Parts: sequence; structure tokens; C-alpha cells
Amino acid sequence: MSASKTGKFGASLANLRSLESLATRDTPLHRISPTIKIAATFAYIVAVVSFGVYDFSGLLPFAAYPIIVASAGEIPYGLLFKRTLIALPFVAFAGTANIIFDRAPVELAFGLKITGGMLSFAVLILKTLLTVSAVLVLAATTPLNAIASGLKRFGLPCILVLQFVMTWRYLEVLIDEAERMFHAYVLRSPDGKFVKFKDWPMMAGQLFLRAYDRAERVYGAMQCRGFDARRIHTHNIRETGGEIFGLILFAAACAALRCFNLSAAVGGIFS
Amino acid sequence: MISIENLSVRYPDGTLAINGLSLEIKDGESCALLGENGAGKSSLFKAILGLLPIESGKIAIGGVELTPKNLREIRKMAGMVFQNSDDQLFSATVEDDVSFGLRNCGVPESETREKCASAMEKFLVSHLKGRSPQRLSDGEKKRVAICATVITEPKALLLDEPTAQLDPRARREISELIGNLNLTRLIATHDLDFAKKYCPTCAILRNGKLRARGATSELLADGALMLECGLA
Amino acid sequence: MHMADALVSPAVGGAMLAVSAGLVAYSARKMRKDFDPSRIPLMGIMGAFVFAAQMINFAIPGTGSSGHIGGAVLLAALLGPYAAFLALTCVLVIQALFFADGGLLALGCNIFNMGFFGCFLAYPIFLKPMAGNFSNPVKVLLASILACIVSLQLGAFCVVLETLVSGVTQLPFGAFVALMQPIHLSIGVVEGALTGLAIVFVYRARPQIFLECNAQKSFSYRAVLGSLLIAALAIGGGLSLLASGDPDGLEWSMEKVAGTAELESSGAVHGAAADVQEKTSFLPDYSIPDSESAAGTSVAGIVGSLITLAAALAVGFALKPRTKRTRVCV
Repeated sequence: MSASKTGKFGASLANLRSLESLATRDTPLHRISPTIKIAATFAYIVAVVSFGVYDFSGLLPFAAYPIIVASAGEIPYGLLFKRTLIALPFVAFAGTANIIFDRAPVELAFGLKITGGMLSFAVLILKTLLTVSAVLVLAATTPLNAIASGLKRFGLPCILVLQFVMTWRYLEVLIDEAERMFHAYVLRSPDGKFVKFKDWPMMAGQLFLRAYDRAERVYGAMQCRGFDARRIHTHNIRETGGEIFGLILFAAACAALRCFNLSAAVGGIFS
Repeated sequence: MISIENLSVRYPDGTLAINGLSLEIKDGESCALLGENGAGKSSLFKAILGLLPIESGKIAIGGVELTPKNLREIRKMAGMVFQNSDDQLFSATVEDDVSFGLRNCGVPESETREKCASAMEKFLVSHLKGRSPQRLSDGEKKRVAICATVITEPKALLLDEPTAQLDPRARREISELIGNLNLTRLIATHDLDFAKKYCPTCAILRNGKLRARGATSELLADGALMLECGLA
Repeated sequence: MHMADALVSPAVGGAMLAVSAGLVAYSARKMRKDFDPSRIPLMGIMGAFVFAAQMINFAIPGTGSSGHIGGAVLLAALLGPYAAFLALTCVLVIQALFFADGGLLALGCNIFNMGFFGCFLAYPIFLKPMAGNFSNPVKVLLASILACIVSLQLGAFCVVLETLVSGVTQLPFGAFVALMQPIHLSIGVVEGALTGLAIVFVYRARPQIFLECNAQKSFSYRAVLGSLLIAALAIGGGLSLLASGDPDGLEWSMEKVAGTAELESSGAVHGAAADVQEKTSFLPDYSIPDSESAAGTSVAGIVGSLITLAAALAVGFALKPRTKRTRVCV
């Protein structure tokens, strides 16, 4: 563990907290039932992903969704963009093969020629940006417990909801303990910057034990206040008629944009 | 209110935490539970709330005997404020944490919010309602913890070293707060001043057994007893 | 090994979501039967632990890339296969939602690739029988390494299959496999070693975690078979369209599943895997999924898979010993 690693832990904690704190704000978007938001995100992703490998222009209008939602939900664009970048590397790796193997020339507007591979690569990147930002805006407008409750409406088993809740809670416990142990270690080592490799197993082991013991105590506290694993309280989620109607409209719009290339149409008007 | 008969409790690793303890706490009593570290105070609390299994003996709260089957009922009647608030406060916001107990009892959402708001007012933590409990000062955490435990209206309250780690002002405020609660209270503490001021009676534990029981002022004045029990 | 949404087609994504959802439901049902609430802290903390551990990337020497542990085998060892599967599902969902690590549509793929093989194959077939009651450190270590290698190899291979069947990348099968498998072999060894050490450590420090797992009934293979069926249907249709650019590699991978298993009721799994293996050795040449001839072969592929697997299932159920009702390790 180096300083950058717990810097990484700290950063990850900050990550979690920043999204979670965004998720607990109160905008009209936040108030929509989580079930609706999950369903909408899915509809969007399916539409985006179903585009053909060369269809760049048809995809572009879909960028409207994350942009609009981000502003309606008061989500900073910078945060959104940074997070989506993280997802790019592996996709880029898979897409590089396209560039290498697909050399058939494709003609764009104004006589510009690129290879099919470059186009499909661009499409892949665009798809990634769109789908990842759709998921991020979901996460930034819906607290995890609400997402779990929303998923429950789709039939997610109770025990999985419980697992969500507990994993989420204990993540903070774990990171807390890790920070504490790291500070204690670092203050007693001459370099004072990172955990030596040979000490990793000991630290990891102790971390597990301490976190486990603390988890048991927290669970005891939860039990003392009436927590019953068999009857997990979930927020009463009821989708309003308006929300359902909105969802249907949204899904229809996704389907329409999928079948009908808006960019081409708009471009056609101007040329 | 709390009746303990010949209780023995063992830790998972085999050590005997409580060894044949009998104790009666009357309705409305505010009793201090004294004893050196390791005397069995925290273990007793955990046993009362069913967090540690009973090896032998009986525990009854409000006349209801503690069995593995009726833990839920027992926990509605008695609440516990933990020694370490970090173990007790685990929700994302103070408001969530305070309403946790009510929600688990199935209280409807609107009523929960009302009760939560008034409880937070009463314990002077309303201004903290949107904050994360982990980020509060120790004194604030303790207040929130007490608020969150008392909101479900238990008949008895167990407090495990409530004034430990508090600065003098916080200690004073929390002590007053606890003193003004209208419940049967059993308070484990090392703070002898607190015990003298807010607990007319006390029980002293030693090696998992009850060593002395009676008026606080009397027992605390007994120098030999204090020395024997590690309290002086 | 997390797959992004952009790499899966709706068909593959949807099919794998169905498979994973089925497995989740099955695991939940299994857990409900013998649910022990005192295991809850362990479930939660292990979920958090694996989540945190997955954030640590370690460099894989010689490949210039990095990997992270999956954790399925470790979770299964400490929590039992069903709880482990659910815990891993949670970790993956949180990663997908908050860290853009793996897509939502691809979630089914990820849960299957990373959870299924570790929890329902590697653990009961390799780790548990070899490591027994976890008291012998050497056995535990070796068993863990083996289990992790198997689990990751199969998972990585599935990533390749799912990506190719989705038809989004032009990466040839051979090249893709040649990259994925060795990388995940190295990761498997490292993860296996870490898992083994972790199990030994926890066994010494908190043996009671393993105590309840000792009385474990013989594992039911219905879940394994059921999901193999569905997955084979979804992918089998597509598989018949793919060239096995490297038939040896494909057969080699299938060998690993079919050949090394030595189980009481092994007949069914063995049979199913062997049948799939037979099927794939007659693959036609590679063609891009939306070419004309594809429809014919894929229908044949699906029908073929159905028939062979139905036969295998029938044989399997006939052979399955009546399992005793002892306590399931949750």
C-alpha cells in the first residue's frame, strides 16, 4: 500500500461520497421513482448499443439525454466526463483491432475518406461515452438504497437488497479502518510514506479482522434498534401514472431515434 | 423493570464474562453500574439485549423474559447507547439515523418524519440533520446516538459510558440530558461525579459478580470498597 | 475482466442478464432456506473487502498490462457458494454504478463471467474437495491456485465469446484468446496465492467462520446445468457462426472443464461439456454475424444445442444421487 494507494482509497471514498452526496440532493429529477429511472437507463442503453457498427450520425442525437439529465439533476459536467474517461481504455483496446483489420474506405461528407475501421472505432468510443454517462447520471440522481429498492420492484430478491445495504455500509467502515491503520503504521516507520511490501499481508489480515469485528458491533447496534434481516425496510416506491407515461414516451423516443436518423434529416434540410 | 437472576454469560472464546449475577432495577430508577475495566459491565448490557447468548440464568424486562424468540419485543422495550458512537451511527445522514429505529418498527413515513423532527429539536441536533454522522464531533455524535435510541420510546435505557471521551462542557451537557430523561436508566460509567449527581443508586460489579448494591453516596464513601473494586 | 456496454449487443447482454438473474434468484432461494442472520456482518464485510481489493491493480510482469483479483473463490470459501455469488453480484453492481467499471447491460455477462465459474464450479469442484476443512495450509494454497486459475480462464474465455458473438469488434478469435488467456493465467496464479493465504489466515484467526461450513451437503448441480443450458443456447447459436480460428485453443479450453472434473455426480457436467466440445469441433468458417448464411447455421446451432443438452440433462438427472438434507453453508 503506498500513499497513493490509500490516496487511492481516500480518492475512492471521495468518489463514493461525491456521487452519493449528489444523489441525495433534491431536484425534480431526484424525486422520480428509482424504478422508472432504472428502466429508462436500460431502454437508453439498449437503444444505443443496438446501433450498427458504422452508424455514427444516428448515435449523436442520443448525447442529448446525459447532457439534459446532468443539467436537470445539477450534476457537474466535469465530474461526469472524467468518470466516463475511465471506462475507455479496454474498449479502445478492443476497438483498435477494428482499425487494424477494417481498411475498407468509407466516404464521409465533403469527400473526406477514412477507413471503415476508424469509423467503427469512433462509434465504439461514442457508444461507451453515452452508455457510461447514462449509468453515471443514474447513480448521481439515485442513492444506492433507493436503487436497491427500485431493483426490488423488478423482482430482486430481498437478500440481495440486504447484501447491497450491508456492503455499502461496511465499505465506509472498511475504508475508515484502513485509513486509521495506515496512519498508525506510517507514523512509526522511518520513511513515513508507504507500507512495505513485506508488511502487506500483516496489514491486510489485521484490516480484515478489525473491520470484521467492527462490522459485528455495527450489526449488533442495528439489531438493537430493531433491524430484522428478514424484513428489510425499503422505501415505499410507487410509480405515479405520470412517471410511467413519461417512461413510455422516453422509450418511444429512443426507439424512434434508433430507427430514424435525426442527424441525417437535419443535415438534409441544410444541404 | 429489569430483573436479572443468577446470570452467567460466556464469550465465544470461552471466558466467563458474567458469573452468577443477580440484579433488580426498579421502574423509574436511575442506577449507576460501576466496576473496573473487565468487570463485566458491557457484557451485561449485551446479554440484556440478546447480543451475547446466556449460558444460565434469566433476564426479564418489563416482566417479559428474554428468549431467543422474542428478541424483537425485548429490543423495543430496552434501548442501548453504545460506548463507541461510531458503532452505533451508521446511516448516511443524521436524520436517517434518528429515524432508523422508527422505520424498522413499521411506523408510517409521515409520522416518522414528524417524530424525528421533534426529537431532534428536543436533543438540539436539528441543525445537524443533513450531515453525515461520521463527521460530527464526539459530543454531537453522543447526542445523536441518544436521540436515535430514545425516539422509539423504550421503557428502559442502558448507557455504556456515555460521558467517556467528552470535553468538560459536552460532558456536562450530556450528563444533564441523561439526567432529565424520564426512563428507567442503567448507566455504566467511570465518571464518579456523574454517578453521584444523577444516579441515586448504584450497583458495583467485580469479576462478573455483583459486589455491592445500594445508595450511591454511601457506597462511594466506602474507601475500602472503592479500592477493592478498582474504583479508587 | 469487466465488460463495457459498448462491447455487447442487446441480444447477448439480454441473454446473459437472464442467465445471471436466474442464478441470483436460485442463490437467494437457497440462502433463504437455512439463513443464519449472524453471517450478515461477514457477508457485508467480505463484499466490502472484495470491492476494495478489486480497486488494487497489480502489474502483470511481461505483458505491460494490469489486472485485479476477482474474489469469487475467496468469497465462496468464506461464505459458501450462494452467499458468495450474491456478494459478488453486489460488488459488480456498485462498481458498474459508481465506478463505470462494467456496463449495466453487460452486468449479466460480468456477473456470470466473474461469479459463476468461481462460486459454482471452481469452489465446489476444486477448492472444497481438495482443501477439505481448510486445516492444511499447503493443500489450501494449492487448491486455491488451481481453483482461481480455472475460474479466471473460463471467465476470460467467456468474455471473448460474448464480445465476438456481439459482433462489435473485428478482433480475430485467435488473437483475442491469445491475449486474454495468458494474462488471466498470471492473474489466476496471483489471485490463487492470495486467496490461499487469506483462507489460511482467517482459519487461524477466526476458525468459527469455517466451523459452520464443515457440514456441507453435496453440491447440487442443477444450477450449473441450468445455466449451462441457457448460456449454451444463447451463445451456441452464435458459436456456430464463428470460425474456430484456433480449434485447438477452443478444445483445449473445453478440455479443462470436462477433463479435470472427478465428481460423484459428474456424469451430467462431464456429458454436457463433452457434448459442447464435440459440437464445436465442427465449426464452419468465420463470418461476420449479419451475413446471409448466418440465419441457417444459427438456427441449427440452437436446435443442436437444445437437443444435446436436453439429452445430457436427462442423463444427469438420472445419475444424480439423492442428496442428503444437511445444512447448507450460507
